[in-house]
Amino acid sequence: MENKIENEINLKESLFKTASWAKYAAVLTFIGLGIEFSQVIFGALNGGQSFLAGLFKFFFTSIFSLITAINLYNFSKFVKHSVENPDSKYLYQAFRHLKIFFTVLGISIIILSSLLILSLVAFIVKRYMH
Amino acid sequence: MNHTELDNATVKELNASGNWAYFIGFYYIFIGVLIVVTGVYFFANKDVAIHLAESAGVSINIKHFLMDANEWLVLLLTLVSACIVFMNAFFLIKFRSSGISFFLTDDTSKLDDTYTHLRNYLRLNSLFSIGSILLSLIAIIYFLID
Repeated sequence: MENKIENEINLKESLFKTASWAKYAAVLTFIGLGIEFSQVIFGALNGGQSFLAGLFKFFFTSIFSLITAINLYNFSKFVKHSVENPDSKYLYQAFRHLKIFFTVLGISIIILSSLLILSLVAFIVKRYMH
Repeated sequence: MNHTELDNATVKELNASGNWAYFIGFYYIFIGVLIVVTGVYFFANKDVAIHLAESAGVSINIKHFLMDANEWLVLLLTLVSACIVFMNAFFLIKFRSSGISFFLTDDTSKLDDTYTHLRNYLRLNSLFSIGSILLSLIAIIYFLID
């Protein structure tokens, strides 16, 4: 019985530490996105590209990062709720957000790889057809 | 509710996360191998690599950077990047395998391992993000001074 309680405390601690790192990773992603956005502004000020074109590019490259960061942050938030409040719905919510985080990451990888393969095929066709 | 007794719906969500993590882990292995092959190829055939990059339409700045770059430095950077990618892959694959072991055996030590591998993956990503943010800040400061 004592062993079981000790096990439970260890697991709770381990999950809490994981949630803390999830929060750090999410916050760092938000900061990274902010810096990327400021680079768009500096790029526009420098005259390298138009602000709208930069904003458009930023939106498409950062939308996946934003969704994953939000879900990672929610995972952390719900784990902390579940530690404070022993209700199974919080833990379920936490793991649901973790699943969405990995799903979005996986889907973004599939989309980016497809685009990469498509551009590689276009490059080969362009090079050897002309 | 205690944490050693996750309900079925929660375990299902954890397993679904594990399956995606497994896929992403193998993708990282593929990317890591690609990085190593590219780095070694650049190390062995710098001129051919620059010519290939030129054919692929890289900018003149990148071409000059490749021409001036020290081969050993490029190889070192390549190997460090590949190591980070392989470590990410390792943690993700272990996260999934521990999750599956917990699901099959109901052994709570496996659940602890699952959390640990997930934590290591997030920790590595956080450290890598700090590095990227610092580099970006240096680039912005350099731009402002210039």
